[in-house]
Parts: sequence; structure tokens; C-alpha cells
Amino acid sequence: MLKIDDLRVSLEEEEKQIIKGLSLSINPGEVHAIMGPNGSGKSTLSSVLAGKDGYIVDSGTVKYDGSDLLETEVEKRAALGVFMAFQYPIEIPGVGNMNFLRTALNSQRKTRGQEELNAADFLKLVRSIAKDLEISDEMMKRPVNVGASGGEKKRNEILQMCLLEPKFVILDETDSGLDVDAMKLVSKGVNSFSSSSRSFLVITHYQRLLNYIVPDFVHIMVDGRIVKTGDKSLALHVEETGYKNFLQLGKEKH
Amino acid sequence: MNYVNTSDWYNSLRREFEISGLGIEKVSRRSEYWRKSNLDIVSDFSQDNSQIDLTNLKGTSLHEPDLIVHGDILESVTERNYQVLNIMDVIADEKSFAKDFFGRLEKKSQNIVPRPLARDNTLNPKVGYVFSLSDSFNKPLVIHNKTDTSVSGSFQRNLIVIKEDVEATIIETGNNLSVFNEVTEIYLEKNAKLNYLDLTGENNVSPKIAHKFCDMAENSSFNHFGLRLNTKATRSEIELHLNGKGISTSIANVCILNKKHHYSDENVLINHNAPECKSRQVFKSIIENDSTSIVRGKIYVASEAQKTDGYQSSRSLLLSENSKFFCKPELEIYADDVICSHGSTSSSLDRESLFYLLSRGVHKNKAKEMLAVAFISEALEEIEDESIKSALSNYLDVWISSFFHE
Amino acid sequence: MTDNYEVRDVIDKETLSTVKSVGDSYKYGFSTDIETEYAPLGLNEDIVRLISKKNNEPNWMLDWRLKAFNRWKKLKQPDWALLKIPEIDFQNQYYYARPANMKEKPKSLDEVEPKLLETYSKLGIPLTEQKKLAGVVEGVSIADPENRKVAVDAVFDSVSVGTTFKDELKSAGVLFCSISEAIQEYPDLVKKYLGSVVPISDNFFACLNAAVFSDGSFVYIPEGVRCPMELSTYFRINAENTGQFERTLIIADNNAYVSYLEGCTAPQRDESQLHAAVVELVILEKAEIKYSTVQNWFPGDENGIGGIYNFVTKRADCRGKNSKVMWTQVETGSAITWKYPSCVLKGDNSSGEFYSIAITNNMQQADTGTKMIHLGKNTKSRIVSKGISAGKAQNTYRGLVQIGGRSQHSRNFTQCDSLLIGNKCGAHTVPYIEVNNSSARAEHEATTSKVDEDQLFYCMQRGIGEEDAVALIVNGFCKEVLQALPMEFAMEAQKLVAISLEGSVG
Repeated sequence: MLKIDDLRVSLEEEEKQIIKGLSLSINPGEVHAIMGPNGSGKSTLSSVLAGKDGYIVDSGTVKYDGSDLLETEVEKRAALGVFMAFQYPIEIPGVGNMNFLRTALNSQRKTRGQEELNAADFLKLVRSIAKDLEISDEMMKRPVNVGASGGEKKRNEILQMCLLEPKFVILDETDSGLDVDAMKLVSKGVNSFSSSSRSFLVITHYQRLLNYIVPDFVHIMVDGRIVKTGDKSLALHVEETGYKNFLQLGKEKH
Repeated sequence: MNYVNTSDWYNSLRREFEISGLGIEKVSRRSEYWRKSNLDIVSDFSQDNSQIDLTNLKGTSLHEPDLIVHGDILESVTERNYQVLNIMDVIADEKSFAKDFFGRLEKKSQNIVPRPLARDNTLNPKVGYVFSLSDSFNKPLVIHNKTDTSVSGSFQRNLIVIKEDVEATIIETGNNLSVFNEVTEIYLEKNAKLNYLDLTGENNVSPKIAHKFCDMAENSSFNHFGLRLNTKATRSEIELHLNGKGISTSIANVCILNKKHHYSDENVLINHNAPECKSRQVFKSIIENDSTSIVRGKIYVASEAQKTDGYQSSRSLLLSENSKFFCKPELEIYADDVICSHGSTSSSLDRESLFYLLSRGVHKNKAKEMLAVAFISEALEEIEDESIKSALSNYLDVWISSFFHE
Repeated sequence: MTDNYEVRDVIDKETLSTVKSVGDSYKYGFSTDIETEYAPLGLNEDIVRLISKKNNEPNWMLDWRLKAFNRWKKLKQPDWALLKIPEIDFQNQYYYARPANMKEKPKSLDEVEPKLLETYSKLGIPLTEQKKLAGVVEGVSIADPENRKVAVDAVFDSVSVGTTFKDELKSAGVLFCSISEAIQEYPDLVKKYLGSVVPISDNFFACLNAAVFSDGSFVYIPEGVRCPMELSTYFRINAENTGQFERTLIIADNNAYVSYLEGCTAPQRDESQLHAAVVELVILEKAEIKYSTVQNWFPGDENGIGGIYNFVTKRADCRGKNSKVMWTQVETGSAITWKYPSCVLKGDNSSGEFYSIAITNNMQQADTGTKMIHLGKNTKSRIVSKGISAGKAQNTYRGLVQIGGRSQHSRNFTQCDSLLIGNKCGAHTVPYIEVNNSSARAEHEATTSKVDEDQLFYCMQRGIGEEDAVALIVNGFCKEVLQALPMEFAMEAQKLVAISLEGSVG
């Protein structure tokens, strides 16, 4: 589904390379977790996959379902099924949540050549998802993320995921700022959404989220590359020993 | 000397104003209130000789006129339960009630800001409506101003008196094919309320200078909403005198310019002369294509005006390289127990918000449109009347959408 | 910020004790009884020639002055500020005054008249190389763990009395001396840069200064040099009925850095006195200047009698790419302040910062702020202004943020807050925001309010007297600016804030 090959990425503003030769292959139905210390390039990776500007791809390729992802426009990527749950979902005053969701869904359907969903069907769909995620009607009436707590924002991200039904989901530090109850709720949303045709890339600093969303593969990222790959036990290992052993690995690779 | 067909009271006022007017600072870039302004506005630079009667805001219920001011002619189209007089008759009438009102506010509003163009208007009125309202309007009064190219320099002078406990809504729209200089003096008695919507559209191919001076008594309320939609050149000067307790006022403005060298210049001065009053100013400008938006908003708080709550926000969205925004949000405060604030921003579309929308699959133009519509919504929210708000909001949604999909 | 100047929390307590210990508010109102030599009263071409001659200036300098003088005669005093300035009789004051025994400039500090040294020591400014600058607030001793040295140039009326650490600085390549000396010794540098930031005819007061400036400080930091100590100039007006017109020129060559401090006081007199200074900063590629001012000129008495008219033009020219300037000012003195330290951001990626506290009490008036002129690409500016008005004072923030058509991706952030104490004063905000470029972002926030009653009540409930509580809250209100000052000044400034507000409550 997703194939990253020797990717190197710099910041546009600082001429500083953040991702220094990263390769990763994700098949349909797989859950991959990337763990790493702060500044290892995890968030840069998710931003580049989603298509945020401000980054320069120095070399390498990213293939998604056979097409060149890096050459695809942001909104086109979304329509192709790439979804990123943001670490810090932005507030957009003045844009109503419902209007936003409906526009997003129908824009994607239009791009894919599907018929737009009518207002009644849309409403029904959104309400049922919101109910599962315990998101109040009042919250749905507000402008996008405005006045929402950290947990509410994250739940809103998951709601968008369930509504837009992507094929490849990046969860960028979705656990940050969540208490245990909120994390369970978010994980429940993610787990009920997973299927054999969907893949996940879970980016996290801590192991705890992986208790709820269980990964098939765990990659340790240090200084812009993956230095070790293993199964879910690797995450537990990191939890015990910290990242310091891996920092050395990062250096050796230079 | 005496003037033909004018009353003694107007003649003596005119003489007095001519003399005192000599001290009024002339229009010049060196003036604090004309810095960066387009001085062409005082001369007729209209090259467009189109005679097409473009009507503003077609497709909304807001443009069907009750009152038409066409050149020098004032015409009532609908039956109303009050009398509308022509200013020219009023200033000829020795006994008119207007003699206690006419020119008084104009004079008072020269104190802090020199307003030479308003003074010109006082000395040379050509047409205008006058009414004193003792009963509330049951529906908005829609006034349609039309000037055509045959008139060079039209001076419209209006006088509105709203009696105690009376409420009214006025919608002013129209089209101008020659320079248009308008002064409206508004007197609000206790508990009176006036909502005034000044909707100026792209059919204003000639400069328009509109002054509104408002004298406000206790608990009265004045809400002004201005719309500048691709206007060639407009300048608005609003000055409010809050003279009694418990007054509330809101001045909101939406300006969208995307044609070359278009220009809008908004000037507001709110004098808080009494305690416990509230004023809000919300300006939103979307500027593209070498156009310019200017906002000068000043809150003046006299030492008696304790517990004043003054708010001003002036924000612009600049969409192309050469678009310009000049802003002077001023506070002059002589009372201590006040909360006054202003904020101003100028930037292009927020990249983070745009990215968020795109990452959810929203198409680029649609995303920009959504952000632009959201951007002006704070100003539209200032309109109290839900039906007017939604009519205008729908109209603008369509307009903005065409803006990004051209 | 490259250096981390911390304001310690304990200072708030110190502030309180200082407030308690101070009886009379203006502590620098004494005058020095010293024989003074004046130029004849009034201003004409002969006076300009005389000043030039006293400083033994070359002809080019005299010509420059005369050009300015002729220009000045045609200019009008500006009236756009929100200030009521009594008419100034420019012919009824002295333009040059120096202690008689300064006729021959002392070759070293040892030769300086003891009375002068005493004056400075009384002000807390030791003109010796053993001690450090104590400051413009009396009785403050600072335990300085780093034993940081501060070089001082002391200007007394129209002349520089002496400059400390000159030799030590020179060995590092730094030129620090009075401007009159620089005109003699470094004419090429002076010729190249003087008037290049603030031209002769810039404004009425700057033009007057160009004609009659008598002394001031000169600093040149050569390429790649980080000035090894803080530099400072201490201005003192002593003579009666005399204007002080000093001129400061600081040049930071490529990759150079300097932090410069300036302090001012004057005796308590019934006559108002004029102080019209010009400060020019030239900042070349990757260089940085920090310029801090604590202005504590005599503010006049509570009835508005006397005090200094402080009409100052300060401007920094960020000529080089990646250059930086930071103005920090604490303005508590002067009867009238008219001052707008500005940044011209010409070099790409250059940045300008302006941090200001302006306190007016009694009958004081201040119209002060900054100008940020963005010309280069990716330039950044930040303005933090805190105005406090008490008594019957008027305090105006006036600021221009201008982003030019070619200044792509530039940023400005402005925060200006005003605090009113009492209902007879005024606080005003007059910002001009002019954006000519869509890729730029300008943000401006301003608030005006009185001292928060809940905060006040909280402090008083805990046993703090009202005046102390106000001082405490005001210090909190100013914190962001105080933190921008070098440590020595930050502590003094905190005390000054408290002292300036005396008598404002109740």
C-alpha cells in the first residue's frame, strides 16, 4: 500500500536535514508504529506524507497504491484515502463543523467520481459516528475545533476518520494530552474502524497507546532514520530502557 | 447676502459656517485623517460613461426601494405611515422643526477630526430626505440612491430624528455614476434604536463619500453595517456622540475588493461622553489585485465616561501581492474604570487552516472560499435582524464563491 | 535573545522595601556647585561656530553644523503629538555649558575635578575602573556574581568628563570615547556614518541637535568582535537654563555585538530645560546592538513646575543581512517626552525589537513609541509597550509598523497595554499599521484598563498596603519589558517603577 524508499527531507527555512534516509513498507491491513525521542523526525514524516509545505524532499520516493504520493496534491491525497489525525488539530473560527465535514466528504466523493451524499443521509451518518465517540450535538454545532478541549479535538479527528473512510491512516501523537478514558475511547474508534484493507501508521513517543492499538510492527526512529524494527515487544522494551540505547545506534549509522 | 429660496435660519447658519469653516483643515495627505488616502476621491475621476442602471444586491429582498433619491428628485414609492420631506423644502421653511437640528451635529463633529467635505455639503445641499419618527417601522425602509453622469457632484443631505422608544431599520443602497457626497445627521432620543445598513456595491463606479453623525441619548442604540463590494472608491466618516448612560452601539464593515486599484476608506470616531456605554467596531477586509483598504477607528473616552466598554477589531485578508491594508486603531482615554481594547491583523490566508481543510480532501478553491466566508462572519454577526443577516450572508457566499472560481 | 537576563522574584520584596525607605520621590534633584563657563545666551550662527571651536573641530564638521542650522531656521516645531508643549523660547537659553576647569580636557580620570567625580559617585556612577556601574537609582548595590565590568562615558552638561576602561576596550579593538574626541581621532568613521541614519533635516529637534550638539558618545565595534563589557553613557544636566544636546553614534561592523546602556538625571529646578538628543545606530551584517535606556530626568514637581523637555530622535539602521537591534527603554522622568526609537530593517532577515515602559505621574506628559520600517525580505519586528499613567498625567503610545511592497514574508507583532491609576489622567494609543505586501503578517493587540481590583484586593487582604500593592501589580504588568533589560538595569528599573508611582494612590 505504502512504500517509502530512502527518503531524505529538509526544512525549507533552515537547510537542515530532518529525515536522513528512511525506508518503510506498509501492506494492507497492517498496523505500524513509529516510536522515537523528541526531534527524531517522526512528525516531519507524517507532515510530508500528508503533504504539508515547508519541507524539501531532497531525495527518495513514496509510492502509495503504485502512484507517486509526493507529486500528488494535498486534497487529492485525501481523496485517495490518506488521512492524518493531527497532533494539534487547528481551530478554524467561522467555519461550522457540520459544514466542514459535509464539504470534505462531498469534495472527496466528487474527486473520486462518486455521487455527493444528500443532507439527510449525511446527517444520519455523522450522528451515529458522533454517538459512538460520545461527541455532543453542541460540539458538532461549533466552528471546527473552536473552544474544544484537547480530548474533544482528538475525538473530532477520529470522527472525521470514521466519516471519510480512508485507507491509510496516520495517527500523529494522537495520545498526547489524553487521559486514560479519552485514550480508550479514541482507541475504540480506531479499532472498530480497522479492517484487512486498511493500514495504520501510529506515531507516538510513549508505549501506552500501543496497549490499546496493537501494532504488527514497531519501528524505532532516531535522528531521521529507522534504527530498529521489531514486533510489539519492542515497544515494551523501549518503555523499560528508554531511548538511550538506540541513540547510539543512530550515531553508528552515520 | 441671502440665498434664493432658503429660510432666514438656514441663511444665518450658512453665513456662520462659511466663516468658521475657514479654519477647517483642507483635504491633504499631510492630514492625520487623509494619510495614505486616495485623494482622487474628492475629484470626479469617473471615466465610465455607462448609463446602465445597475441595481445593487439583486436577488435579495433588500433592494426593492421604498424611497428613491434620483439626482435632485426625491420620490416615495411605497405608502408609509410618516412623512418624508425633501431637505430643500425644509431649509426653505422658516418654521421647520429641522432648524433645531440641521448642521448642529456636523459642527460638533468637526471638533476632533476636520471634515471639510461635510462642511461643503452643509453649504451646498441639493437633495435629501428628512423625517422625524414617532412610531416604529414595521419593516425596513429601503432607500435607493441613484446619480447619473449628467450630475457633476451630488450633495445629498439627510436628517433623521427618532423619538423616544421608537425603533427603525434603514437600508441604503443604490448606484452612483458621479461623485456623491452624503451627510446624514441622526438624532436618537431616549431608548430609540436605529439599525442602518449602508450597502455599496460594484455599480458605484464613482467616488462616494458618506458621513454619518449621530447624537445619542440615554439607552439608545445605533448599529451600522457597511458593505463595500468592489466599490471603485468609497470613503465613510462616522462619528457618534454617546451622551447618556447605557448606550450601545456597533459599527461593522465588510469590504471585498478584487478589481484593480479599487479603494475603500473607513473612518469611525466614537465619543464616549457618558458612563456605562458599550461600543463595538468590527472591520473585515478581503483585498486582492492592487486594491487598498483603509480603516481608522478611534475610541474617545471622556473623564466622565466611567465603565466604558470599547472594542475594536480590524482585520484584513490580503490575497495578492500588491493588495494593501492601512489601519489606525486609536484609543484616547481620560477615564480610568474602563475596558478598551483593539486588535488588528493583516495577513494572507492562514496556511495551517488551509492545510487542514486540504488534508481532509476539500478542494483548494472551496477551502479558500470557506476560509474567506468564515473570515467575514464575525462582522455579519453584528447584524441583529436575522432575515437581513441571512439574506446578506447568502448573497455574500455566492459572491465570494464566484471570486475564487472565476 | 542571546543572553538570558533573569529578573529574580525576590526583587518584588526589595521593591517594596525601597518604596518604604524613600521619602522624597526624586532623589537626584541636588545640583553641583561648580564654576561653569557658558556660551552667550541664545542661538545664532556665532553660537554654532563657537561650539565647533570649543571642540576644536575640523572645517567639515563646522560646515555640517551650519548647514543644519540654516535648515533648522526654516523648520517648524512638530505639533502632531498628543502633547501640550509650552512655547519654547529658543533664544532665551544657553546652548553650551561646561565646568570651567574642563577647559583643558583631562588626560585621565585622575585629573578630573573631584567635585565632578563626587557628583557621579553620589548618583551611583563610579568613574573609576575598580567598581561597577550602580545606576540611576540611589543606594542600590548589586551583588554581581560574574563581576561584570561596565565602561562609562560620563557627560556633564555639554562635555564628556571622562570615559572608563578605554584602554582595555581598545585592546579588544573597540573604540569607545566621546564624540568630540572621535571627530578628532576617527574622522573617517565619523564622516562616513554621522547623519547617515538620522539625516540633518530629519525633524525639527534632530536638526537643532545637528547644529548645536556639544558632545555625546561614540562606539565602533570592529568586524567579528563581541564587546567584552557593557558600555554605558551617563548623562547629567547640571547648569541652569541650559539645553543638553548630545549625539551618540554606535557602529557594529559585520558579526559584531555590543550591549549599551544609557542613564539620565538632572537637578530639581523651577525652570524647564530642553534635552534634544540624537542617537544613531548602524548595524552591519550579522551584527547586533542592544540599547537600553533608563530615563529619569527631573520630571517637574507635582504642579508641573520645572522638569526636562525630552525631545529625542533615536534610530537604528539594520543595513546588513541578519542584523539585529533591540531597544529597551524605561521612561519615568522628564516633564515632556517626545521619543520614538525606530528600526529601519533594510537587510534581509534583519530583526528589530522595541520594549518600553513609560510611566507618567503628576503633570508629566509622554508621547512615545517606535517605528518599524520593514524594507528587506523576511524581516521581523516585535513591539511590547507598557504605558502607565497616574496623577494628572497624559501618556500616549504612538507607533508605526510599515511593511514595504518588497518586504516579503515579513512579520510584526505588537502588544501595547495601558494602565490607568486614578481618574484624572489619560492613556492613549495611536498605532499606524501599513501593510503593502500580502505575504507579510502584522498583528497588533492593545488594551487599556485600570489596575485590576481583584488583584489589588488579593494583595491588600494579605496585608500589603495599597501603594505597595499597586507597585507590585505594576511591576508584574511591566515584567516582559523589565526582563529585556540587562540585569543591572532591570533591578534598578523595578525600583524606579515603584518610586515613580509614589503619591498616585489615594
